[in-house]
Amino acid sequence: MSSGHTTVEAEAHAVVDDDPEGAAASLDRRRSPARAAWRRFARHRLALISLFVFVGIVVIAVFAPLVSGASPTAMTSSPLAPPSSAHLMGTDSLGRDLWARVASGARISLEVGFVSQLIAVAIGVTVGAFAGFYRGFVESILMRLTDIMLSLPSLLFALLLLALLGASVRVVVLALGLSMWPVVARIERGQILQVMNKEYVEAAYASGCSNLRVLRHHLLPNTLGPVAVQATFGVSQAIFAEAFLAFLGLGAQPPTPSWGRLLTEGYEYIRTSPHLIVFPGIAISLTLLAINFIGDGLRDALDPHQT
Amino acid sequence: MGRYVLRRLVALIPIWIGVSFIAFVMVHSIPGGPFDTGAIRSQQGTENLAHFYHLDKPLLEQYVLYIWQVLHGDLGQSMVNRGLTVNAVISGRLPTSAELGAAALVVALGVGIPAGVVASARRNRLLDHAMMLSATVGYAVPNFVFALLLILVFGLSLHWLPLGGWGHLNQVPLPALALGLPWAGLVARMTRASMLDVVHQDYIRTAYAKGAGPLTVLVRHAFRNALIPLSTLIAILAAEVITGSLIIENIFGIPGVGHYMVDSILGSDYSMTLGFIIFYATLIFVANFLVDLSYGWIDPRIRHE
Repeated sequence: MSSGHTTVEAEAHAVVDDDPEGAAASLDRRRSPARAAWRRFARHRLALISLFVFVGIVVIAVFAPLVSGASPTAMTSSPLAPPSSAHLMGTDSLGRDLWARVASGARISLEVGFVSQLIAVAIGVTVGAFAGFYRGFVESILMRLTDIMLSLPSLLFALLLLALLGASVRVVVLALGLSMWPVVARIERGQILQVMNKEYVEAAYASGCSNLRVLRHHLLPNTLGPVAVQATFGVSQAIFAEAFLAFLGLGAQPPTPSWGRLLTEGYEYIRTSPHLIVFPGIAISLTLLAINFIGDGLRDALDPHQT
Repeated sequence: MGRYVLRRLVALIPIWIGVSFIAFVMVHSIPGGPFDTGAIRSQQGTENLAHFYHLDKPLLEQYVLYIWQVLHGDLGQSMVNRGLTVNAVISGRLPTSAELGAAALVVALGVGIPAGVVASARRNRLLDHAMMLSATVGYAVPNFVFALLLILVFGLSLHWLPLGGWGHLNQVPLPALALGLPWAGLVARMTRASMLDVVHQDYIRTAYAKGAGPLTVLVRHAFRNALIPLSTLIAILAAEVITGSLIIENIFGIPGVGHYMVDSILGSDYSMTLGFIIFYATLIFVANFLVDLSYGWIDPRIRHE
């Protein structure tokens, strides 16, 4: 979790070890906390497989038009065609290639997932760090605000903001970022409180560091493991929320091929063309599953006390 | 216990006020007034309408007036459909939503808890791995994708169950499964973790030592104590079942509160939307309060903190 922590553990092992050469070797092997974390992550086989799957999804999203070889909005063929060699996933009610639409849907989903979590982490870490560090009045104000935002379900908050600013993917990103930071803030505050008692923080103060320097260089880097784990699960929650809102017609507007919209459009033809809901359904489920497994692996790797 | 109840209540009230204030301010900053519908109306008529809905007063005063009204049990009325009140919609539709929610909870707990207990008893064996894998899959697949797949398989292919509607018993399983199964996955994972925590406690060893059989220990000693952390879940599930009902009621055409709320958002009926959000926020608060109470009741140490 924290580099300081791991080194102390490694030294403890080294002291216990009778053989001085073996001790040196074990100290060397254990020196990099990043490597130790990667080993813990890779032990989680499903997480490793999911990482490859997820990288594949990212590649598809980035090169969407190239990979699919068709435009997601061009009406290329007869409508509602079942999957064939020309159209791997068939075509939709307007004759648009479904594979092209699913592939560019990945782009929207990943964008929503990552950008909303960047916002959530930026606000959450700032609020949580200040609340944990300064305690007293600052803390009670910040944490009351956190409690208030935490008890407004993020989907309801997103619905309100969409009504306020109009339905678009950008508003969805903003709404999810603005409603998902309180969880991060709570975790960050707890982490700061834990790390503040460590010897190396005392050492930093003793060597003359200012409050802000201690916070930035000694506290923050050692608290980010659990935040990263939460943000990973946050990405999957945000992708779910975007599809949820788009499905209800409250997020992405046509012809944007958000996975949620693809499912709504497919739902109308569920009797005759089930492929229209099967493929987008698989796409979103596979993505969320991969992210969840990666999150499980990350938790083992970065936040061992949680498991 | 009485003082503990009071203290929790006092802690929750400012948060409820904060949530309702944020929702109120957001709804009232929506661009365009509710009466800019293009209907021909005299200047005086527009002013009368604004006066009737208190729109001519400062925002803070409007909020206080609205909260006063809410505290008297009136959540407001539609600005689009004249004479329709939030209370009327809720009292007419809540029973339906509550039935769906209860059925989904039965699925979530009825599948999740036994699965978690069995997985913990077979820890690290094949059955445990298989169950935890399906729990994660269940938790990751979105409820609306579940709903569509259930319709496809059990409605359209096998013709076992109707595709939607409400009021007949055979219309319950599909929406209840779609809403409940994802949470069964979460419940199973939490139950397993909680059981594994408990089985290492001293009192479990004591129970074995005095000669209790494995099943007795599992059910009478481990399971009952493992349930304590699970009470948090009730609050989480309450919030999730509410937001989930928005989409599930829409897919299955169930005439519940969630279905109507989505319609009122799509129809820009802001006063209705606000009323529903205040109502849902209050429900979630009650769930949180009950969880706090159950903690105090289960674990006396918390009461005296």
